[in-house]
This record gives sequence, structure tokens and C-alpha cells, in this order.
Amino acid sequence: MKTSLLLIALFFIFATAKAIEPAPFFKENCVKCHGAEKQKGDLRLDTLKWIPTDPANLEIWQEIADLLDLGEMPPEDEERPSSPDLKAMIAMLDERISQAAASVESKSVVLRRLNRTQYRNTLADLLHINTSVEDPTEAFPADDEEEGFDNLGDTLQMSDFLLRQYLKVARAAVDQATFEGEMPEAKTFTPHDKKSRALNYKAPGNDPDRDYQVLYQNDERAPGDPRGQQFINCRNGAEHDGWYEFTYEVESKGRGNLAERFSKQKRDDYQVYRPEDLHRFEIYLTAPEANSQIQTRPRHLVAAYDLPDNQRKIIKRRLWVPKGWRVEVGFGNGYFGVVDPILLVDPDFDLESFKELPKKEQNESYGKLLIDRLEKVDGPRIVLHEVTETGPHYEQWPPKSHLAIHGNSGQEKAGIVRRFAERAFRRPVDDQQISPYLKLAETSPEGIRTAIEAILCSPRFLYLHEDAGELADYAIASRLSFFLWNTMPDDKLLNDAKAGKLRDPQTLVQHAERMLNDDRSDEFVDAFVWAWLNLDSTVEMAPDPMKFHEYHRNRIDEAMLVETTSFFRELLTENLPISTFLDSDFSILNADLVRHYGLPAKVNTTAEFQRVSLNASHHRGGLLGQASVLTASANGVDTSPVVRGIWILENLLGTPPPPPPPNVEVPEPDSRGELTIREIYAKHRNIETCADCHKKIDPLGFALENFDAIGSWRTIYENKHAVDPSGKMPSGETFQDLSGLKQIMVRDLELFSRNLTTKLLTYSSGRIMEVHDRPEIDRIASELDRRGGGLRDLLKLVVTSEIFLTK
Amino acid sequence: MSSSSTLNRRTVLRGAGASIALPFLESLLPRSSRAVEQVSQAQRMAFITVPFGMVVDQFHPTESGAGYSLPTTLKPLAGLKNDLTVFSNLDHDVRGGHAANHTLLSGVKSTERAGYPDGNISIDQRMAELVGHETRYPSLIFWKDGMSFTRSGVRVPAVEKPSDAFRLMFVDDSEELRKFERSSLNSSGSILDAVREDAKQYQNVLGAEDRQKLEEYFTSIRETERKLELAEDWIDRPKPKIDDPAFKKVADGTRDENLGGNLVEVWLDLMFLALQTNSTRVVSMSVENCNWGLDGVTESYHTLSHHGQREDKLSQLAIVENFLMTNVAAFIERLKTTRQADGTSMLDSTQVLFGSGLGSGSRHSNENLPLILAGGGFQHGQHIDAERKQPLCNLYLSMLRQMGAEQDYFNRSLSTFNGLA
Repeated sequence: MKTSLLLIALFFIFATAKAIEPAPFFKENCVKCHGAEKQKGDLRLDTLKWIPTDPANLEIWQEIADLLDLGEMPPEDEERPSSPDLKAMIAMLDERISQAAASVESKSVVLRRLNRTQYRNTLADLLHINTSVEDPTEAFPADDEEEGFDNLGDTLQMSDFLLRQYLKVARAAVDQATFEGEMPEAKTFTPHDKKSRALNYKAPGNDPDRDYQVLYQNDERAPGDPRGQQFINCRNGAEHDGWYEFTYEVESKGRGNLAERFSKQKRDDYQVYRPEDLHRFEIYLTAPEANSQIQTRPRHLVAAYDLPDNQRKIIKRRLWVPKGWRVEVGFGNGYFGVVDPILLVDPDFDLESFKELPKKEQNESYGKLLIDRLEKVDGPRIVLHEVTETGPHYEQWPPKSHLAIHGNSGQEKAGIVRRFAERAFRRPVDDQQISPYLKLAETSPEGIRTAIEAILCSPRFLYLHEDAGELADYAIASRLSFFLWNTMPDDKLLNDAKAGKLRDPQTLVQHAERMLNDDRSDEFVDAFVWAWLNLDSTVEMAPDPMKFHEYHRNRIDEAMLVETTSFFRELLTENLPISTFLDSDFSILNADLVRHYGLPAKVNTTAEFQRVSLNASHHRGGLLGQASVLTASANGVDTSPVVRGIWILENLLGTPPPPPPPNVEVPEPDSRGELTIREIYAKHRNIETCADCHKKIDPLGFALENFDAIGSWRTIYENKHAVDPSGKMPSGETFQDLSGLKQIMVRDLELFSRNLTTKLLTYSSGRIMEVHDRPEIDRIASELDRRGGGLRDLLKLVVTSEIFLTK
Repeated sequence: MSSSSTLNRRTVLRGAGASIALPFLESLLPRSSRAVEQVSQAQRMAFITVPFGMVVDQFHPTESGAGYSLPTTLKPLAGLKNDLTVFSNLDHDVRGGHAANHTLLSGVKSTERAGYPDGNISIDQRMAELVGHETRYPSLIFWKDGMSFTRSGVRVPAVEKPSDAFRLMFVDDSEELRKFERSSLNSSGSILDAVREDAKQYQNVLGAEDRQKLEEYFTSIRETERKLELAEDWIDRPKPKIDDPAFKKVADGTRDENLGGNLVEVWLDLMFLALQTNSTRVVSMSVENCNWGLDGVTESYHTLSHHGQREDKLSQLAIVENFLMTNVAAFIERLKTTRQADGTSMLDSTQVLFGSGLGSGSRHSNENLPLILAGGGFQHGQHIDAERKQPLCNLYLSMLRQMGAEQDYFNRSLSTFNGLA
């Protein structure tokens, strides 16, 4: 009975194949473990049917073919079929599966809603407003994710929560875009002018009689929670929304002086001032004072500069400041907090008596007392020699944002609404489509803004429209733009869409090149890297601030994300082979990360990231040496080889293991130290139901055991056991440590290459890849291989692929 | 397909015990004639959830039935033993550790919601569907989101700061803001009409699958219209006032301080007030990973939950769990001693569920969840070992029926809960 079922199934598969007899092949090599007695990996081959019309069934057969192809099955401790038989079998399966898959009705991208980031960026472009300071989508419910992606049509939901937010944000955005009346006059302030100083500046802790200011500490109260700085522009908040020009003439002085006293000050276990790093000057935008009594006003870091020693430097910055916001500057990596700085520069100062003076007197005299002493000993500080501020400025009046909504005076409502709708819908609109909005516009004098708000809530704006089959030009324009910029298409794309040129691969590649060279492609790099590598957990299960002070100090958490996105960007710009993701002789680092990694490189910039050369002894080549990945694959507290092994299988190799079978007792972790982690793990590797998957998972995870939960290098654990990073792959290959594993992964690039291609296609098209996509994915991967494997080439292959150009 | 959402008189009477004809009658009165300040006997629910399980062998009693003795962690609840039920071997039969934690109140993973007629709606949101229109806020979620989901799978946002919650419930909006709200509601109405008209045209050009997706949009329009209409009723109605000077520090943000030792107390106070003032009938609080600021506790909650049986961590965790249970006990006690208009205790008509989506935090298993149900008119006083023979959704179905919902299932339930009367 068993045999006959198998024969029936295999007969259907192989009705036309003659080269090899499949039934005896499976019976001989597989059914022992995947038959009536055992169903290892939940797979029973003697009853598995062949249903060429069922994608789920084809997925199973594809997996069987892949496992044979990878040499993982039959396992090495079983008798293996002869090589020619195996090859013939694989070839036959592949051929039949792709034939069947080709006729399976392909799954198309379901009507895709703009996700939160796309909506925010599009709103900014459409209305010509700035959404980077005040995030209008702050109250949006989180977008649903699948496989780490938050931009998939099927997964993204619409809800009344969201629709109410759309209504609210549309109204606020139209307000923000509207500028009535005369253009406000630009004003100039400089703190040297006593009058403007009183009006516009606040310099707590400074000496009112000096004609320059001195920043001597970073007034952070707790790591990651900077509040209040020593020098503040527009102290009462900007009078108008607008562009403001800030010029700071700054000088870093005394770096490394009094190093003994300054750098000995520790908070918890980290040094609060690092004399080896260049002083960093920072500019922030701070939200208006809330009703709340305590100062937890949100503050955004907008720029940071590493300052050369003892050289005046002029920093000019043009900032969009929303009404009521103020601008603060600070000494980003300055001393802060443990002991009053006045005692560091003058240990004899009688602080106790000083503190008995009336508060007002203290406040007025403290700055002078401190700065006199600080200058005498040439202590570490940033001097603000000159500051000027002018604004608000506007490119034109009324600003573009106003004209987008209200048009030029005398312009007809119908024309304004239609033009706006065409840009919002990213395609031409006809009379019928525009009529509900025109009706709104005509109802009252205020009607036009209501119409604009309605357009911003319309399904044609909120969803990406694509017709079945081959994508038409306008749909391609949007797909490309949301892929590479995460925002609406620009005029160049829309013009080419109008001219019907976007189905031409050469034109498409030209646009892709142009868009990747534009800063807006940072949106792609950030969002894609985040989704691909599942970096959410660096935030969601953030490392314990009480255990990992270092991580939260100096924004290592942000720096590690910058490293990984900059690394991706470098591969993209230089068209480096994708194998570089697995091993590289460089990374992009700042001083904090160089220190975190214990590298010998001389890097003294904390704001600027530099390309740093690496060799194998540094352990940091490729993604697997990067703190972001090592943190994301841990849990914020400790590491688990299983979790990290699964992370690699899912995110780098694209072969996620099945979940553990039901009723498996997960062992209670025991870190008291009697057993080594190997001994604990030996338990599940000796249980047959567990061993099959864990022999794939565990070696990958063990190779990363030299890194703790924030990616610091270690050779012994907290419980004093030595780390053993060696392992044996299911194929039988062995490695001593991560560098050995990386060599194996670079050599067998196929899985990684297929996975990265799949992830890019998923991200760019907005749907999960299925079995019928496999031939096209394989075609791209092999074409990429032929072209030398460059990341930029891969992007070009993706945008010209059939999957990308089809709904 | 969806389960029925009406309250009928008979089930209310059955569910709420003999003395509760009044709330139903009361709900028939026009809204304005009901005093919001007065504690009514309406059915309420409160949920308190923790993210990293509990030390299970200190939580689950060893004996079943009424005569059980309280394990160490539950000792603070001693005075309330007859007002609550402790459960063992009860869970949703899901896996995924932290990644399945969000199923606590629904039983269904977000990724699997397509397989259920009501998606992965959580019990609190189901309750809000039924009674939410009665109060200013259909439900309130405090501290951390991630446990509450609507029928369409949307994660309901939380109020993250105590001062914000205080403002929402007890501080009247300025006249200017109310004027703005009214005019927004006005224009929202005409905007929704226009986009509906456009969406109707639009669906004609869509393929079957896209058209189905667009249904979400139409549903959202309808729901939004309904909710805006409800919201309009509340704009000009004054909010209840809290005179207790102890709440000044909550109002001004001083107690927003991000330490578990502070926040657990503040949020439980606000939960009580939310129910007492009838600001909502469904309130929940999800404890977030935090530092505690408690004597003897130096490591964060998440770190401690990975105790690996180490004594130094377990002893700190014991302090934390004792602190949690002491505060939960105080919350229940407060409901118990507060009288409603008819003289019954507020706890009699308030179901309080304490639990976690993880069993043992150290093992990251989603089995044998720590669960306590108090109040709501059930016959309490026992420890029920469910022996993993019935799903937790059975209990949720019983809870919903207790407050009068006419429905035969809740997500993964097979029947009402067997063993609780």
C-alpha cells in the first residue's frame, strides 16, 4: 500500500522522465526516515502527493530538491545515493517543479497602502512641507510586518484608527502649508548685541560680561536623555515657521588637558570624558514647552561636527524651525555630571559655602567663577566666538506649499484641485474621478482646503494603484520611486511615464542610477537594511541600560545602525560583490565603535564615520562582525546560539527552520555555571526529534559565541567557562571559529545570493515571493554571478526583472 | 460571520447576579440624565499584564480546589483569596516566546488572524465593541501597547504617560480646542462622503482581490463615521474632576518618571479612577521592560527574567514579583471596598484579570501561564488546574458571557470555561 502510493505520486511527477527511476530512489534513500515509521522534519514521502496546481505542494517538492542539492539529505551518516543518480534526480525535480510552477496562477501584489514612512515622506513632497522635525504620523498605529517587511500589500491594514489619523493629519498639514498675509521680515540676532541677547538667547552657566560663550559640559542627566544645553537660540521659540540661518564660529580648546582629573570621572563603569576624541559640537531642535512641569521636551539632534583642536571653525547651518521650537547647541561629548566641573578645574574652590548663597546670586556668578578658572588651566571646552541668526527666510512668497493648495491669486479652483489630485494620485485623473473633490471645493470659500484634505484621505492617494499583469508606466514610476526613495515619484519619472518610456529597461536603469545617486535613496537603504536584517529587536529588546552602560553611552546604539547602513551604502556605491556582506576587509566606523570593537585603528572622530581597514584577526569583517547584527540576534541580556543560528538561517541564508514540534520540553536555562553551554546543548542534539534541525542551527550560532549581547568580543563567559566557537556544518565541513564559517559561507554563496535577491524583490514589489517566482530569482542570481556579483548590478537586475514589472 | 454584539436583558441579569436590573435600565436612559461621576453598577473589565512571565513554581499552587495554600508570590493576595481564582496549566497553545506574548488577550497570533472569523481581536477590544459607546473612551490602554487588537488586527495604541492619561480623563479641553474639534468633525463628515463616492467609482476598476482589500477602506469609513458621531456627544460634556491633591503630581508629569516602582502604582491608581469615574468600562495596563527603583533591585526587569536559576537574580525577581502582587492586591481591595449606588461592591461587577503571555520568562515558553481572575460576580476561592485540557479562550468566553455578551465562541474557545461558576 505504502509503495503503491509512492509509485502513484512519483508516476505523476515523472510520467515523462526516463533517465532515472524515481520510486526506487526515494524508497531506497528516503522512506526509512520519511515514511510510515518515522516522519522526520514532519515530512512523509511515501504518501506525499504531486499536485502541480497547488503552490503549497510545489513548495514542499522544491524544498526536497533543495535539500538534495545542498547535500543535506540524505544526511551524511546515512548511506548516500551515487552522485550521478542524485544529480539526475535533482535535475528532474527542478525541471518538473518549474514547469508546474510556470502554470500555477501567480500571486499578485495586493492593493498596497502607503505605510507610515511612505505616507510621511509623500505628504512632505506633495505639500512641500517639512515633516522631519515634527512627525505628523507619531500617533499612527504601527504597520503590520511579515518576515520583517512593513510594506507588503497583503499585510498592511486599513482601520478606522488610521483613517481618523489621516483626517486629522490632513487638516494639520494643510494648516502647516498655508501662509497667509505678508511675508514676515527676517530678523538678525547676535548675542554680542545686548538687546538681541536679552530677546533671543539664553546662556545658562555662562559669564554675562564675556563677549563669547563657553561650553564646558554636556548637561545630560542620564545616558540617552539629554536635556537642556548651555546655549540656546530663539529662547522663546521661533516666531514663525520658516528657514533660519545659523552661523557659529566655534573653537575646540584644551582637549586632553587635565586628562587625569576629567577622564578619571566615571559614571557607573564608563568614562564621562574621553580626551582622545575630538570635541564634538552639536545642534539640536527642541520642541515647544508642554504644559507639563517637567522638562521632557522632545529634542532632535540635527547636526554634529568633530572640531579640530585650537582652530576657529565657522559652521553655517540652515534649518527649518517650526513655530515655537528653539535651537540649542552643545558640547556633545563633553564632561558631564559626576562632580561639579568647578571642582575639576579648581579643587580648592569652596563649593559648600558657595551653595549657601542665595540661588539668584549663585546663578549670576557661577559662570564667571568657573570660566575664569577653566581658562586659567586651559581645561577642555568649546568656545563660541560668534553667533548669528537670521530668519525666517522663504524661497518665495507665498511659499510653494501655500501655492500647492491655494494656487496663485486668480487661479481657478478647478485647476488647482485637479493639479493637486494628479500629483497626489501619481497619475492623470479624469472628470469623473475629480468630481467628488470639485464639489467639495465649490461648496464654500473654505471649500478648497476641504477638497485638498479629502484628496489626502482618498483611496487613490493612500493606495498604490496597479492593474493586473504587466505594469503600466505610471505604476512603474510609483513602484520604482517607493522602492528607491520611499516616496512619490518626481517630475522626471512622471514625465517619462507620460511619454510611455518606463517599460524600456535602459530608461529604467538610467532612472535607478539617478535615484540611487540622490540622497533620498538613504530612505531605501535605511528601510531595507532594517527589514532585511530584522533590526527591530535592537529597539524592542534593547540592551539592559543597567548592564550595558557602554551601549547607551555615546549613542552606540545609533552608531551601530549607522555602521551597517553605511556599509550597505558603500557596497552599493562601489558596486562591491555581495559576498562582501559575509566577509570584508573594511567597515565604516567612528571612534566609539572602534573602541567598542577594540580595534587598533586611530580614529578620533565621533560624528564622522570613516572607512577603516580590517583583517581577519580583528573579527569584524562582514555583517556577522557588526554590533547591530550581533545585538539584533541577541535578546538584550544574553546570547543564545539557537537564536543566533536561526537569525542567520532566516535573514542571511533564507532557509528558516520549522518551529519545534509540539510538546517538546524546552529546557529551563541554567546559568549557575555547572554545565558549559555546549553540555547544555548536547542534550537536545542527542534527542532525535531535535537533532535534525539543530545540527543546522547550532553550529552557526556557536560561531558567534565570541560576541556578547551587544557585540563585544569575549573569550570567556561571565561564568568563567571558555568560549568554544568551533562547529561542524550539516555537510560535514568543519570550522574553528567565525572566520572559518565565513570562508565556508563565501564559498557557497548560492543560498545567500538567492536570499538577498528574494528580499530585494519582496521589498520592492510589496509581496512575499512564492514557488513560481523561483525561476526568475534563480535567473537574476546567476546573471548577477556572471556580472561579478556587484550590489548595484543586483539592484539594476531587480528593477528590470519580470517580478518587479508585473503586478 | 462575526459573533453577535448585542447585550440582551436576560443575559445581563443572568450574568450579573440578582441585584443588577438597574444598570440595564440605566443604559436605556438618555445619556445626559446619567451622572458620570456616580459609580454605576455597569459591568467592567480590567487587565493587568506583565511581559516576562512569573517564576512559575512560586506562583502556581500545588493543591487544587478551595483548600489550596498560597505559594510565596501570591501571599500578598491572602486577604482576597475568596474573591479570586488562580489558574494552572491554562494557555493558548501557541509558541514563539516573546514573539507570541501578544496573544495573551486574544489567543491568536497576528500572523494567523486570517484563520479566525473575528481575527485576533483581544478580549478587551471585544468588550469595547459591546459597551464602548457608553463611555467617553471605549477602552483605555496604559503604559505599553501590543496586547490589544481590533477585529481587523490593528494594534490599539496605548497612553504612554500617566500625565497624558490624567489629562484625557480629567482635564477639560480649552474652548478653542473644542471649537476646533467641532469644526473638524463637521468637515470630516463631508470629506468622508466625498472619499466614499470616489472609492465606489474606484472599486469598479479593481480586480477581485484588490476590491476585497478595499473593503477594509469602506469598513473604516463606516466605523469612523460611527465613532465621530459618538465623539461629538462628548466634546462639550465636562469631564469628571479629581480633587485629591495626591494627583497633582500625576497631572503635572512629576510621576511620569520611568521607573517600574513608580509607574505600577500610578497606573493602577489611574485604572481605578478610570473605572470609578466611568471614563471607560475596559481598562488595561501592560507593564513594560523597565528599571524598578526598588530597594534591593539593581537589574532591569528583562535581565532578571533571564535568571537561569541564579540565586542573585531570583532574589531580586522575588522582590519585584512581591511588589507587583502587593499592588495588584491593593487594586482589587480598592474595588472591593468601593460601594456602588445600590450598595454592592464595585468588584462584584468588575472582572480583573492578571496574567502574562509567557509562563516562565527564563524558559521563554508560552505554556502554563500565570493567571488570576478576580471579581465580576464569579464564584471564586479556588485554584483550578486546567490540566491543559481546555484553552484559555474558554475562560475569555465565560468572562464575556458573564458581562452579558451573547456569543458562542471567542477565537480559539471550544466552550465556556469548565470549572468556574
